[in-house]
Amino acid sequence: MTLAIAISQVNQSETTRSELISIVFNNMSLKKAVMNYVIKNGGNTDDASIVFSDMIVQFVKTAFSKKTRTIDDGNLDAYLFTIAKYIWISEIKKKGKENLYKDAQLNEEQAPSVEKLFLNSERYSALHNVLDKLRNNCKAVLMHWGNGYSMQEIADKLGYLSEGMARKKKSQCMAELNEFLMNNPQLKLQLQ
Amino acid sequence: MMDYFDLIDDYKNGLLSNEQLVAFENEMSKDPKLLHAVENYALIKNISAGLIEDEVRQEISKLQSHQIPKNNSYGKLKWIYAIAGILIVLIALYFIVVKYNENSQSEVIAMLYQGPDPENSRGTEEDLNKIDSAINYYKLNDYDKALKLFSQKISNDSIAKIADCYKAHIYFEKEDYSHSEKIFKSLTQHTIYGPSARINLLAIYILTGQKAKGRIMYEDLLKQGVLSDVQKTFAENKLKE
Repeated sequence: MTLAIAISQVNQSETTRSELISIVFNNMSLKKAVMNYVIKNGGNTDDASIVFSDMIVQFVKTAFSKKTRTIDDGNLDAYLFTIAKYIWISEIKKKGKENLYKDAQLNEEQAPSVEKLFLNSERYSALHNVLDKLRNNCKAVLMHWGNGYSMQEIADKLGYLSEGMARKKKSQCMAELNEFLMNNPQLKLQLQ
Repeated sequence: MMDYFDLIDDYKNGLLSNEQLVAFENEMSKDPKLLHAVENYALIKNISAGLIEDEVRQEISKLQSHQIPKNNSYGKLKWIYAIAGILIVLIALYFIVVKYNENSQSEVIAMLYQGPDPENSRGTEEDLNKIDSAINYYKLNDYDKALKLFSQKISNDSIAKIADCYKAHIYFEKEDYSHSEKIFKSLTQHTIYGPSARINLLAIYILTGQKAKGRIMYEDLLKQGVLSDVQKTFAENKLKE
């Protein structure tokens, strides 16, 4: 599959996004390649499976974001594999285990342009507490707003009759999220 | 009544008129919720942007849960056998990786290999049924059955090309690179399958150490502009090694 097709599947709808995630998740040759790479460079199978999941998350986030969607066209597997390498190199650097790292091929210039991940495990559970409190459709509106979509684009994508209606929905949802954070300083701290 | 939450983006981006700015700041001094939203704007935006991560992670955990067997009625002994089996496989895998993976086979596959993506074709019902079943077997990784069906006589030319394309991929998956190379070569001039066949030939030349052929193919692909920047750097490095 080409990158252009994958990016359009990410952006078309939640259903096409879900289909793409399933295709990538079940791509055995890519999974094998990531596994081998991580294990060859000082990791174990658990590390490899985390890297594989993070690779999918990072790709979808980057393809969805309006800010960093500067990926060239090309082969999806090759791009995903570069992301996985980048994630593992960053992880190794964080752990200070560069000596275990045998592959020096990916220098700074080759690092892919990707969105940083926001949800670590602590934030992930905190975010679920927040999501439970948000009104229906808020997730979709805020998700698009947070990733740089204009109000007109949000109205078009989510089926609001006008830009004004999308704006109204966004400010309601933002007010709800804001109030929840105000009333839950502990959760706010976890999410910062 | 004015919805000041609606103006927060414009306030943060410096897009309010003087009048709106005065009114907004006046409201902020009276409304602690509005003040909190402005002070925590970056956090609110980060949380919102992170919602896509949450969606993807939920999808992945759904897919992972489908992989775990639902029937947990195995006895303790079966678990021990299973763990022992996994350990043996992992040890074997470790040796395979260390001993035979010097040429980063999987990396070459991930970087260059193009999976089959043939177009729909017209043909006789019998041919179409045959090809559909063969593709299903291929998807289930049952390569022997797939190969048997793909090798049967097909009367329609375009369907026969689809079968050839899949046969090349099956030999590739089975690491029978000489057969795979032969079939990919026969597809290089095909309008649909030609570009990916040439990239796969480059992958085969790298995997099998045929660097001279690899360089010729690489130059050819460069002229056609079908390689991404990452693929170019990767192939160049591999052909230099």
